Amino acid sequence: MYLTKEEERMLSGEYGEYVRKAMEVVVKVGEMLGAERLVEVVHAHVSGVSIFNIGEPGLHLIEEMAGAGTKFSVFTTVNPYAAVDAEFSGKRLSKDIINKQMRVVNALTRMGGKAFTCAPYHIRMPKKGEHLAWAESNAVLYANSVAGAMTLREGGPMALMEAIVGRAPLAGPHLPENRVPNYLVTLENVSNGASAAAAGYIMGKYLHSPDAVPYVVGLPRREEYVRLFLAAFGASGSSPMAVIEGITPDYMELLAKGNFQDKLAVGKDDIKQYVEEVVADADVGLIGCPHLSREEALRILERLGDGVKRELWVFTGAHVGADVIEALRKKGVRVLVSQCPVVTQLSLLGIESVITDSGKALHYLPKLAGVRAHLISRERILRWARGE
Amino acid sequence: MSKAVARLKRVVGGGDNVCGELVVADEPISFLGDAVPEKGFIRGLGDVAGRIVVYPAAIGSTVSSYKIYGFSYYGKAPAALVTGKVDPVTLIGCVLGGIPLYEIEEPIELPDLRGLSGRRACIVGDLLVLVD
Repeated sequence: MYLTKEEERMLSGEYGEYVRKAMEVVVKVGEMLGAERLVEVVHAHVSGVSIFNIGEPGLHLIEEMAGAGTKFSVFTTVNPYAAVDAEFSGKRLSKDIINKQMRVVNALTRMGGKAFTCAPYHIRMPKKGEHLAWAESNAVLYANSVAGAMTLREGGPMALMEAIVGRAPLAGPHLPENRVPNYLVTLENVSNGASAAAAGYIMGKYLHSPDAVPYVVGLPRREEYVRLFLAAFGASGSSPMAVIEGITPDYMELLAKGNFQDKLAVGKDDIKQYVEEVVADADVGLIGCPHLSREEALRILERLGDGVKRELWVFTGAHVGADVIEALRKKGVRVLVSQCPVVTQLSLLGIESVITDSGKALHYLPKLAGVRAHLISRERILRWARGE
Repeated sequence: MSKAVARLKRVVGGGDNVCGELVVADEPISFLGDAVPEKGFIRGLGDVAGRIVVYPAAIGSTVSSYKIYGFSYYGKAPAALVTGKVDPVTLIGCVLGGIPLYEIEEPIELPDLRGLSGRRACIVGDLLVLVD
């Protein structure tokens, strides 16, 4: 692989042992991906923060990389951590778990990590054509498909190394030829966020190759639906990008270049299999996967009337604003800031079942949180929370 | 009697001969959610420590890399991962964990390999060979 003089210096250890180690890994992975060179990135996003997900191996690796004062060399945001503020029926996470979680948070903060959100596009919206080093599948899909920026679907520890060296292998979606759609997907009856999430989930189940780039027809142009759609696609598939008609920059040019291997139609009956209409089984309502924008949080606030009568948990980053967080809390909502209950073992708190409008959350909650999960529209979750 | 059942491309190198019992999945694996590294176990597949795991693709979270690395951290690494299509999330997990990773190159459909779970195999050069 071709390396610049600066990159050679990093690899030789001139900038310290951990920069050398990070560069060694980035080069090694780049060579395996067939990259001819590295590309400088303007923003890295690191996934793998919840102690429940990364465990001792992740804690050890992150603390080791943070050793000797290693700093991220580019603007770097990081994923949310486990829901250390969560409480249900008087139960909280143990001190041991919270301590280990905060060690991860502190190590990433020392290195320069910011924001603790899975929606880094709310912190800094990538520009079209910009090169990024992002992990977190929903964020990667949003960056490539909506912002028109360029990033591989990096693994959490790879993004950590890339944040240190400020570079990523020039491969995958960094190259225009890998952004051309190769499947044609038609959606019907996407009428709310939950149905968009179901459609995205179904799409990923069929197109699970890391090379799949679907061209998507029929997704309404509403930010909230697009994010729920992409997050669910990220959970059931492994693709870094979709081309969405009317939304992805240059979608018409990309369609013209399209080389379709197959077609998929997602209809009303497919969606019905995932979206439930009636709340029959719920201890808690969960909204915020991916983390809410300020606009979404304000819309939820408007619909809460006199306040909630049931357990409604909303999760987001500090970017929604202290005023909105306070107003939601006054309505009785539990606002988990910089945290994520989906990557928290909720069964430890005595929670048995939840409702959510997120297909990604639906996928992970039974596996990671140990609870039953039901996909329900946001509107219906809010009505349930109000006691209706 | 040995019999070659697939042609492979080495992505993350192992030694010359990687051998173990085959564990074959016919559905994609979601390592985050299904892998239990400290036990060397994948839900739906069973024990994977010291075995050759064959699967069509890895899906889902970018945090899966830590699960794959975790197998090595706990000394429960598979002998090799053999996948239909290598993705960057799996790649970094294998690089950090030193777990051999191969991509199936010959267009042998995975359903043909499905019945081979439990058989003993070795990866010899670029061939996956049954040795029992």
